[in-house]
Amino acid sequence: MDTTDTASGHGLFTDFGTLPSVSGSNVAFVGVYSGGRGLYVELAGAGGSLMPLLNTGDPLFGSTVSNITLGSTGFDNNTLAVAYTLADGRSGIATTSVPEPASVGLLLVGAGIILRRRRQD
Amino acid sequence: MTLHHLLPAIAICFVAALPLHAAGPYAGADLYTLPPPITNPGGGYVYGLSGSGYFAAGGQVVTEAVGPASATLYLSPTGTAVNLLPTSLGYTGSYLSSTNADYQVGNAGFHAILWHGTANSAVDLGPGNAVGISPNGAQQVGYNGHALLWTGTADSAVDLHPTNLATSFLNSGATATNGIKQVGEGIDTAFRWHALMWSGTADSTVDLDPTNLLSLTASSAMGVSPNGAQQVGYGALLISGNQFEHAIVWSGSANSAVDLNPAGFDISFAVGTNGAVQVGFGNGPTTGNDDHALLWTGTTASVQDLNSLLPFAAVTSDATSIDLQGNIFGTATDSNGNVHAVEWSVVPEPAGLSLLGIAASILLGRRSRSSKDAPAMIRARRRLRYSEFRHIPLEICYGPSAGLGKFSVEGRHYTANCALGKEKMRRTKCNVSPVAALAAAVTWAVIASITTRACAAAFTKIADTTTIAPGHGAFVGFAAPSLSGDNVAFLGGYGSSGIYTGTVGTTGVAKIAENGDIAGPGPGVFSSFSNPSVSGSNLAISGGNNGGGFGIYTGTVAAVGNTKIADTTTGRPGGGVFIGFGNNPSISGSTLAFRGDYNGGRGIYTGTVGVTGATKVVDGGNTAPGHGAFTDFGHPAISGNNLAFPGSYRGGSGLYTGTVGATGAAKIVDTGDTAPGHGVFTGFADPSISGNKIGFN
Repeated sequence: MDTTDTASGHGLFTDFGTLPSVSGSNVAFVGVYSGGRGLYVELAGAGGSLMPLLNTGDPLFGSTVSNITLGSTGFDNNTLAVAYTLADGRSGIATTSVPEPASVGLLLVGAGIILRRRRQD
Repeated sequence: MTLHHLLPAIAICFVAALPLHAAGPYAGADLYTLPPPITNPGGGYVYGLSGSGYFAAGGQVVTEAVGPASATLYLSPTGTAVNLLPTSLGYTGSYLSSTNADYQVGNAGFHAILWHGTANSAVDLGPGNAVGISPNGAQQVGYNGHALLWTGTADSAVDLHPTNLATSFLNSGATATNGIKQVGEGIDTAFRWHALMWSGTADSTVDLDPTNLLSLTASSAMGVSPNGAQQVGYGALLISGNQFEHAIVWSGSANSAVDLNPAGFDISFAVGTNGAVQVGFGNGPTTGNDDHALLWTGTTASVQDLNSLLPFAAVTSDATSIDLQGNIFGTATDSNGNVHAVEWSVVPEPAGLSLLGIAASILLGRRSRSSKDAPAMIRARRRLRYSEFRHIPLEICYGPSAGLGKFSVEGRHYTANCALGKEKMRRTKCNVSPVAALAAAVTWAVIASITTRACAAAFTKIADTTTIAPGHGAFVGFAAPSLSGDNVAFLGGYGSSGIYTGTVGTTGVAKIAENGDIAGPGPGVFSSFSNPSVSGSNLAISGGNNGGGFGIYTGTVAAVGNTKIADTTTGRPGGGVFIGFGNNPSISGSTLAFRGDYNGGRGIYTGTVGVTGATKVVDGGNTAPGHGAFTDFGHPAISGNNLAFPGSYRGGSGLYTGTVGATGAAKIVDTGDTAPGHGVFTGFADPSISGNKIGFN
């Protein structure tokens, strides 16, 4: 992943957080793009899916996310722990589960069917 | 009394007898070609045609951000564009939803806006979105979480959210008004959409959700006849997980619903009615899955496909409104992709006319001529309503909560349970959950593009700045945490700072060590910490003490206390003592990896939980593969017996691996190597390692 890659919906990545975190063959990182940043997981399975998990501006705990920080050991066995800052001034530590690559692939297949139907229509 | 004086009376008779004549025969006319769509990557825009031949366009949406869109009114037949952007009200973007002959409604800055043909005429109706307007312009309807009715000013807003029904509604929205009755929809607490009708007040709500068509899972009303007696819209069915809409006509009650969906059509919508004829569109195998404009006279069997009546080869067509005389307006797309404003008019029957028919013929003749020569006169007689067809980019997410979707409209994000249908359905209904920002939820939308992505994941808080740091006040800040299994370890600040652990999925923390606690065996106490690392129940901690020294310590999840691995009194492999340590020690199982500093250099070392002392992996006496001696090191990461760490040498730097219990380093990459697709690497930050996989910036 580099600054020629696209942050879905946000244009190209412009920078990355200093510390990625690896778990198995998957990598979690903070990606920076024009106007914000997001927490991403690059899944080695399912064709190497890049999965955004949380972006600045997303709703979280009754406010919206203004910053996300990941450490080099924050990703383990498809769970992520991050530090966050919210627009209302709160900050904290939170965890989230990352979908198993197999289930993501299955869901992507479903989405593909939907899109094909749309094109056929 | 002359025939001229009799004409108004004849016209009234004609209107009263309309059901006998309004269903045709019809002939289609090509009014004019609309300007090409506003194009922008990821953007979409509004289309619609009022009964007057005006059409509305605008509402450009750029990905997830609101572009500087301008509500634009195009005047027929020249297609002259009038920019309605209400700069006088301080708005920099605006969206047009509906227009009649004289007035327009839409929104700007998430405020409902009423226009009278010019930008400077804009009236701010307050927060929300106005999507429907009565034929005379006096009433405007829309929503702001609740269905709203305005009569030209913000102060006139009437909250129509149902107060008189046994069903509780989370949200509601009004989409059309005839000046007396308003129709729209509401979503109940089971997330079912109900078609609703009002007579100007919240306690006048009539729930139209069909009680006689039990296969439906949702309904919505989109149009109401001039006398209010008939309503049209659609009902939704779920078939094999896909949503299919069927056009519905009501006669004022939930049990009066008639499913109009014709045989051979998968979906259909009824969007307008003059009380006798219902118009809309549909598609299915019969149409090659292309939208065709349709009309009905109250029954499924009465359907007429209007597409083939157009004077050009229309690929798709929509009927969007019908006036009292039965004139139907809509849009159609030709084989070149051009969108045409079109009209279907009743063709006078050539023979066997009754007196009433003759009168109607005279009137229709006048109408026909007038529509060419004096359109303003005709506009005043027509029912003018435009159903909002807003094109939006739809972003659908997948996992981790199956079925939970997310979409973005005009820069706002919504969580939704989206039942995707077919593109030709021209719209997809998302059952918006009762979460924040519903105030501006878009009731109707046309999909302009679809992006699939992961859902914003569900996060569980371990601690935040409302959480009490054990023994102190609330935390004031946190550093990036470390995770192993269900154990989370982090550096938290509360005025001073400490090391804490928590459990995945549970809010709450346990103190391991804080400033003032004895560091290792003492006698010094901690005065600072860097980020800890956790593996299983073991923690690696780097801390300073009040004696000016530093050390590497271990701790146990959820247990106060620490044990020294090495500090600035500990002997260094190779001689002397450590004089400092790097931040952020790493731990895997019971093995720690850390950077140690000594007089004249630095090195990478390992230690073992419960054992004081350090083992060298590499230091300044070792050679960076392919270069000279190492001159510096970053912070190591450890997984099992594998270590990864940045190292520097004179003239460059690289990323290296080492092995627990062995001395030496192996190069992964250095600044002489090419970054794939770019030039050579110029530097490396601290890595992360899992098994034999290494991630680095």
